Amino acid sequence: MSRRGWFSLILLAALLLAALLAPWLASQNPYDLATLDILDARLPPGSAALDHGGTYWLGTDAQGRDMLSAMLYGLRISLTVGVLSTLLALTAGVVLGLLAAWHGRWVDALIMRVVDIQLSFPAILLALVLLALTGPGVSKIVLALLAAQWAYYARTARSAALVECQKDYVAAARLLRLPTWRILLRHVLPNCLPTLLTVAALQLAAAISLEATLSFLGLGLPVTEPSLGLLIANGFQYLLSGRYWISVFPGLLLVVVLTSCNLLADALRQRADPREAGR
Amino acid sequence: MSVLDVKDLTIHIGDTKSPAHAVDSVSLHIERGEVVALVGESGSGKTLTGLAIAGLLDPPLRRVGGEITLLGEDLSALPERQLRRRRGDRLAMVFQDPMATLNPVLRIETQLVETIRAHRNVGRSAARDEALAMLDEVGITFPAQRLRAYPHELSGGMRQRVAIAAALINQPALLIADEPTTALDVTLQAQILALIDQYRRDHGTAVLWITHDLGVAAGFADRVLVMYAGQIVESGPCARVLHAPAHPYTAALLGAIPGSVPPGTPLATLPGQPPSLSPPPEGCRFRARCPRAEAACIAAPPQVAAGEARTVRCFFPLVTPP
Amino acid sequence: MNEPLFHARNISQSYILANGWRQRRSTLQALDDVSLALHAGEAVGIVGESGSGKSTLARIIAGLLPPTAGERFWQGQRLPDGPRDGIQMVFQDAASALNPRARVAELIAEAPRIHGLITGDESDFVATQLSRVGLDPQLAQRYPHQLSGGQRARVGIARALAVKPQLLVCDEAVAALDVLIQAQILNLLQQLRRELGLTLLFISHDLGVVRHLCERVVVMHHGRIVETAAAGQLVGLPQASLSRS
Ligand SMILES: Nc1ncnc2c1ncn2[C@@H]1O[C@H](COP(=O)(O)OP(=O)(O)OP(=O)(O)O)[C@@H](O)[C@H]1O
Ligand SMILES: Nc1ncnc2c1ncn2[C@@H]1O[C@H](COP(=O)(O)OP(=O)(O)OP(=O)(O)O)[C@@H](O)[C@H]1O
Ligand SMILES: [Mg+2]
Ligand SMILES: [Mg+2]
Repeated sequence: MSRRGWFSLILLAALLLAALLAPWLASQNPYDLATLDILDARLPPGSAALDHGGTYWLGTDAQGRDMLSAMLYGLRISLTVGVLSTLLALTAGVVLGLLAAWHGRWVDALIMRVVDIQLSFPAILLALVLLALTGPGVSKIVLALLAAQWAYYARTARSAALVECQKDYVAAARLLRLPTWRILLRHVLPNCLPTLLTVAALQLAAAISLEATLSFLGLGLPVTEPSLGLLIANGFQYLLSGRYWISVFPGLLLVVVLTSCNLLADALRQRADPREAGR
Repeated sequence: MSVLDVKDLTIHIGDTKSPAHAVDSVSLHIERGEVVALVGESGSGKTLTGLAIAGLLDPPLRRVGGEITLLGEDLSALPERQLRRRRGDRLAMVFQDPMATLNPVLRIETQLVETIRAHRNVGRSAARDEALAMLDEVGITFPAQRLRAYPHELSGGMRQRVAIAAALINQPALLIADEPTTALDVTLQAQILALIDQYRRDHGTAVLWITHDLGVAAGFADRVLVMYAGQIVESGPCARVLHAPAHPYTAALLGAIPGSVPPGTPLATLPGQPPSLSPPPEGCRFRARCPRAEAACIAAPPQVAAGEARTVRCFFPLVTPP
Repeated sequence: MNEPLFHARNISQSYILANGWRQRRSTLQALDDVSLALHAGEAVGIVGESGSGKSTLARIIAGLLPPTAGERFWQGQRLPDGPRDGIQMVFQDAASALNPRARVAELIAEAPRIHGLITGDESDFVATQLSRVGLDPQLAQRYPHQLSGGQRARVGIARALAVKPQLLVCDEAVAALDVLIQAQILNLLQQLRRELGLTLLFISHDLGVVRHLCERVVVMHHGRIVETAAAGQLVGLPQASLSRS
């Protein structure tokens, strides 16, 4: 993999680790109202806390919440939602895409028509409608993202599998009377995986930003579980009054997350394409 | 001036501690308009030699020694990647696996037109006409229809001929053809050989023809090189090598051609398998399977002259030097 | 005469060629009313010019391609579409016939393991299968792209033989092999015919090989069988296919 690829992979791993270890890394639990001190509200980055000796490296928000801690927890939620919905959508899309490619005829036609309809509908609109029906919540937004994204994977998996199924190794596996599920999962899928992972890395970025958008609009997650999008939204009203940090730092973090996903997708695509691998 | 001059080409595979010595001190040269056949045992390093000349070795394959001079320019000092660009215009390769050249998701037309336009400043429709003419020349019927086909819609032999067409279309100075006619019947094979013959007369194309078909080698090539376990064990003019082989391996090859025994009866084979090359065995690499091996073969035989313009790597050649 | 092991009757196959988006779709008649019977233990050669439909016929016989028309019979029983136990095929394009992400050992042992054909140690099984086709058992841990062309072709042969087929369809199976190894494979196939009654359908452009191995040869031309002859009588490709040029 290219140096850029490794860089993005390490960055993403570091972000995941930070999100996982948030309860230990953060100086306070930003959701525990008892630890918040309203007197510390809207302090600029680097201020010292009033009563206990700590420093708010990235400032505090309107409730006196340490921004760094809030961002770590926000990252945790954003990544959880993004990764979970990507995994679910990937699984659903791959299963349907492989079935469509393998069976062809009416199974293919049926699945691909649904995919077409789904893809002609803007993802955000679908997610908005679903969330308006179900109300906010982590599991609900994951479901909304799953519904909005499975079709991309189904389409990619189908076209990758169609190319693979033309190759003689699939014919050989059929002749050897291997069970269909085995041919699909052990032979076809591994050869489609490079393409699928590239799409997954891109769609992970899309899922995270979609969730941020929904939360920013106040439809995604409840206020008690602020993701990066919600943090940005919370600080938005203070942006013009010079208290930039409440909104800008979560925004920067979001940009870093999205960029590293996209860089990774790029590196994976290059790796999957042998004609580019040599360059 | 020779088109290609290779000196002591050595290729290792794998880690530096115990690499496989897949190609060992291979030297060869090809003149303008000359056809050299490279024959030998499966797995002896013929393809690797061709790939190295084309600058297409990727890790874990490493060229660890040797000089490669193409049209008088020593290119071995350059790193592999730059080599590729420098050689692209002068050299074309037909790969053993035609699907390696053909992109499965592009029509034949797109691939041929792009090949032409990558090297020459030709308009799209002119390039298409050239592609059409080229398909016709390699004996593809209904070429206009085949231009619109995807590779998987062609028969095995058609794919091979498309790959040959793509290689010849830019009139390379050197053509490396790796088993290009394995799926072609005699008639078509003759047609392809005639086409390449015409290229070498008209454009002075030099050809390295890697093949298993000793008949083709005998009828088509000027000289033949015989490889065994990473080394050239015998070389010389085709007619003489194939009629009076000097190396016992060449002799064994010629003895295994069907037709030398009555149908249905077992064909002559050699006992055993070629040696592992990581590390290569001491002495002669053919020793363990050789009917003529003697105690002296424990030492590595040097490449010695065996008659006019012939060399052999054996202490006890079947043809005595003059 | 006794019942043939396999019988293909009146097989036709046409491919739909999707031309450009404006042109009409055209069809290509790859096989036209082909019938072929194979008796147990027999070796039949197929020769014919490139594009005459040999590989298409092989795929249909193996059950990989449902023919546009025609039927297949196994010991007199009509076969449904799809592959059947006992028929294996060696593919013309050895590189694409091996899953690039499986090691040689897995390629060879996967099906026998699933069908319960491996009695002893699996790596011993793989080693035996590899040495039969003249491959070093150490190659078992390689991926297909780490093999030479002839080594890949032999893995394809070993894989087909490992499940002990009754009918083996070989599509240019020895074209990528040097004559010594080709001789070894031909001897192996002869031995399997003698000892196990293996039936062979052998597609090859090399008349010398076909004459050596087969009793009967069919000649294809433009999707039809134009001649059936005893192998010894076949001197060159008959006029039908030569008249083209
Ligand atoms: N990427 C690789 N990794 C490890 N070993 C390799 C790799 N590529 C080739 N080899 C080995 O190097 C040796 C030489 O391979 P090469 O392809 O040059 O043989 P060849 O002479 O062309 O044979 P054939 O006639 O069968 O095509 C073979 O034994 C092969 O297994
Ligand atoms: N999937 C496909 N779609 C369309 N046409 C096809 C397809 N497969 C084969 N054909 C066409 O059918 C004809 C017969 O092909 P086939 O592969 O059977 O030839 P073959 O006799 O095996 O030739 P070769 O000796 O070159 O391998 C050819 O004209 C080929 O282009
Ligand atoms: Mg080779
Ligand atoms: Mg064919």
